[in-house]
Amino acid sequence: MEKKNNPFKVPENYFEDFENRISPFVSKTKKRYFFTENKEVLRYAAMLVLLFAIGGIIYLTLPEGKNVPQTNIASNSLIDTIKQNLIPNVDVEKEVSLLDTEINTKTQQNKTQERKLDELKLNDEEIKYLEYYLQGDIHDYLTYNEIDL
Amino acid sequence: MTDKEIFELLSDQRTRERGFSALVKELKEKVYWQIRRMVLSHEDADDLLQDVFVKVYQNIENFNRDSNLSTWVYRIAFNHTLNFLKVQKRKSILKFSNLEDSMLENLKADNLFDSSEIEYKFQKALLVLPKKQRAVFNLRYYDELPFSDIARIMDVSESSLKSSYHFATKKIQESLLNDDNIKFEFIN
Repeated sequence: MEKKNNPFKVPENYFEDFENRISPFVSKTKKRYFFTENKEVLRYAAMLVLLFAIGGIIYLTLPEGKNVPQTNIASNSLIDTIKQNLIPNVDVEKEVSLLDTEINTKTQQNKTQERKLDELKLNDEEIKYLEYYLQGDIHDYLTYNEIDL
Repeated sequence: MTDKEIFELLSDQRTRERGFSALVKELKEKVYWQIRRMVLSHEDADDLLQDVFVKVYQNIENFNRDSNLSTWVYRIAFNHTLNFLKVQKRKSILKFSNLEDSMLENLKADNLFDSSEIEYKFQKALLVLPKKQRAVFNLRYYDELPFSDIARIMDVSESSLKSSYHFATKKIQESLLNDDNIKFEFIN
C-alpha cells in the first residue's frame, strides 16, 4: 500500500469557500468583544449598579417614618427601652435634658476660650512654641532652635 | 507567512482580522485533515473545524508564546475532537449501540470516502485503537509530524509517544493480517 494514501475527499471548492463561511461566526464573536475590551467601563458600571442596589435595599427596608433621621429613631427607642426595662425609677427624660445642658455649657466655655486666644494675637514663633509646649515636646523645640536655658 | 508574523497581526486589534484570515489560510487544510481522520465524517469535521477557528479567534489573547502558534491551534483541534468523540461515545452508550460500528457503517455509505475494500479495512483496524493512540498514529503516519511536535500538541512525553506509535502499528498490522494477507510498512 502506498504510504500517506488519503482515502478521504472533500466537496469541491470546500477549502476555498471555508474562509467565507467562517467570517460570519467571527463577526458574531466580535460583538462579544465589546465586553471584554471595555473591562474598565464595565467595572465602574457594575459598581454603580451595586451601589444603586444597596441604596434601594436600604430605602425599601426603612420603617414607615422614612423621613425621620435614623439617630432619632434609635435614641427614642433606646430611651423607651431604658424606661420600660432597665431603670424604671429614674426619670430618663430629665437626665437626658441635664446632660444636654451640660454639653451646651462646655461648648460655650470652649468658644469663649477660643475667642480669648484670638485676642492674644500671637506671632508664628509663639504659636510654634505653644504647640511644642502643649505636646510636651518643649525640649525638642529648644534643641531645634539651639536655645540654651 | 510565518507563525510569528501571523501572531503579530493577531495581537493588534487593528490587524486582527487580517491575521486571522492568514492563519485560516495557512492551517485550515492541516487542521481539517487532523480532525477528519479522527471523526471520519466530513460534516462532523467541517463543524469541528469551524469551532476550532472560532475558539482560536476568541482565545488568541490566552496564547502564551511557549509553543508555535500552529502547535497551539493543533492542540485546540486535538482536544476539541477528543471531547466531541467522548460526547458521541456517551450518546451511543445511551442508544445501546457501538460508536465505532456506527462510524464504520456511515463510512461505507460515505461518498467522500474511497470505498475500496483495503481502505475500509485499514480504517476499521484504526478504529480498534484507543482514541489518543489513533491520534498519534494519524499525526505521525499521515502528516509525518516529528514526535517532538506531536508531544507538544498532545502534552505528553516523546518517549511515551514513540512506544504508543509502536504499539499502534503492531495492532494495526495484526488486525490486518488476521483479515488478509497484506504487508504494511510504517515509518518509524
